[in-house]
Amino acid sequence: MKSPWLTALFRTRPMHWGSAEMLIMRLLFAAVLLWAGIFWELPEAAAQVPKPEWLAMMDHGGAETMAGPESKSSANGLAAVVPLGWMVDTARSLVIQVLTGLTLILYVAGMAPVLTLLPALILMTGTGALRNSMGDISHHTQLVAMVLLAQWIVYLTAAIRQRRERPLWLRPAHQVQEQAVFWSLLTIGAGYFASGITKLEATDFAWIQRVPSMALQVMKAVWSASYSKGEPVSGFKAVTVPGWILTYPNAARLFFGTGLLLELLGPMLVMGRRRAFWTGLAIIVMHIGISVVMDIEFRNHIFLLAIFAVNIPGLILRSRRKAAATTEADGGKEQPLKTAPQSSA
Amino acid sequence: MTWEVPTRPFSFPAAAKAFWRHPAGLCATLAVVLVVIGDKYPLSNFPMYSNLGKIEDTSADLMLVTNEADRPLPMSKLFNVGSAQGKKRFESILQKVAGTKEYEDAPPDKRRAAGEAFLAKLWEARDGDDVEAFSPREFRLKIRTVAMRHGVFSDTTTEIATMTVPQPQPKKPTP
Repeated sequence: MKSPWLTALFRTRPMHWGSAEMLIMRLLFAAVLLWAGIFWELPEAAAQVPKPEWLAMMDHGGAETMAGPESKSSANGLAAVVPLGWMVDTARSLVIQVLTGLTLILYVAGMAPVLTLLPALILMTGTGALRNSMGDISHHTQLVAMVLLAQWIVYLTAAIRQRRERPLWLRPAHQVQEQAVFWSLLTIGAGYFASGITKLEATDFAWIQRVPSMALQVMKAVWSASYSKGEPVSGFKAVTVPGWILTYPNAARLFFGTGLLLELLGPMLVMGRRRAFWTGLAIIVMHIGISVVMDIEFRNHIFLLAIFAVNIPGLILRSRRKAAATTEADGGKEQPLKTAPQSSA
Repeated sequence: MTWEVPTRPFSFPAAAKAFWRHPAGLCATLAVVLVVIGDKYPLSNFPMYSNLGKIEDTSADLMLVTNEADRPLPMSKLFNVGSAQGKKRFESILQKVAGTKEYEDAPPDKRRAAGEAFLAKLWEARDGDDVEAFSPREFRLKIRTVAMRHGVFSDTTTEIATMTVPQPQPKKPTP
């Protein structure tokens, strides 16, 4: 027995992109990597992130180190596996920065992405891991790094599969570029869905019930921004908004619950271009709302959604192509405007 | 791409195949992998504001650094570290020194030691010109705790550690 309602809900549309719009996507994504993704300037303290434990053990002839709790490693992610301290100076080097920019230009042109994305991938994951090994974990760049990693894996997989007919240093086929965009969207959707289920899991599915305690989190975010920047706090954000949350808890549940729902709708990003557009736009509005209420900005997330999901240049190009196709189908003749019923006399 | 709800009678392999073949199923699977792996750069499960406390008993800690007159100093400008980032870094040091991230649970001497170590790190990362512009004689590290417990609202500030700021030597008059 088939359920037409469920089938319609989960029906997917094929997702295709034109070469021009994918070129614009790569251009904008490369710009995000260069200006907002890679940590070019890390403090010296980042170079002193403790060695990965396996390396420390090797230094001690394979014996476990006698490290006390005070010297316990705070290395995070990649920094816990690979020694990365050297990357602080490397990322600061102008030569490296220019080289990375040049390789990204080749990536934008679609040239050998397995090779041309590699410097950005190494720098982004390395400096990001060092940044997050300094004692606090920031979540502003992981989604960019994950999209970069996903794209690189797509290109690598295609290069391995097509190693005979299309060598690594050539431009990948159009279909491979489409897969790279698709996997970028899939990674973004997975990031939001993961955030949603983490909220549910951490609160035993009572996250929405506990939303009123967000009043304190809003106060905390606003005061933190004030202590960081040395600016006076806005009474609206620090007092009025938390007051509203506590006075109207169900309205607050509706507001913040919508945010949770949007996160859980992340997989809609890969169910057709129209759904990707509306889901992406809705999540961007959510981020702007959070930025207004809590002074917390996730610019990189907004950039990614705008580039891959909302994709305004793609919409413009498609509408132009459609208009051109219609004109061609009409034989290039202008049709009379149907402003009034035509007389049949 | 066409996808249909698996037909009855229910078959687990068919359902699993249908789930896996659906892009949203693939997306959800990747999300579960991210949740299992957790916060390991470049991967993350994005746990921001996930662990909300119960409204009957919830609190939020804030970090501030003040001068000798208890006036808050702009942390990002002076030390290139924001208040929220700084708090996490202090907690990381406290975890190493006292074995707990909760400053209220740490013994006062270990809390002070962690605070002093944190202030020393801030001093290392300072922007010299900006610090000079504020000309502080002392840095005071404080944690402000805003709490709601059973309908009672409280706002307390605890001094963790202090550091005397080395003053620049007066310039010798030129002969």
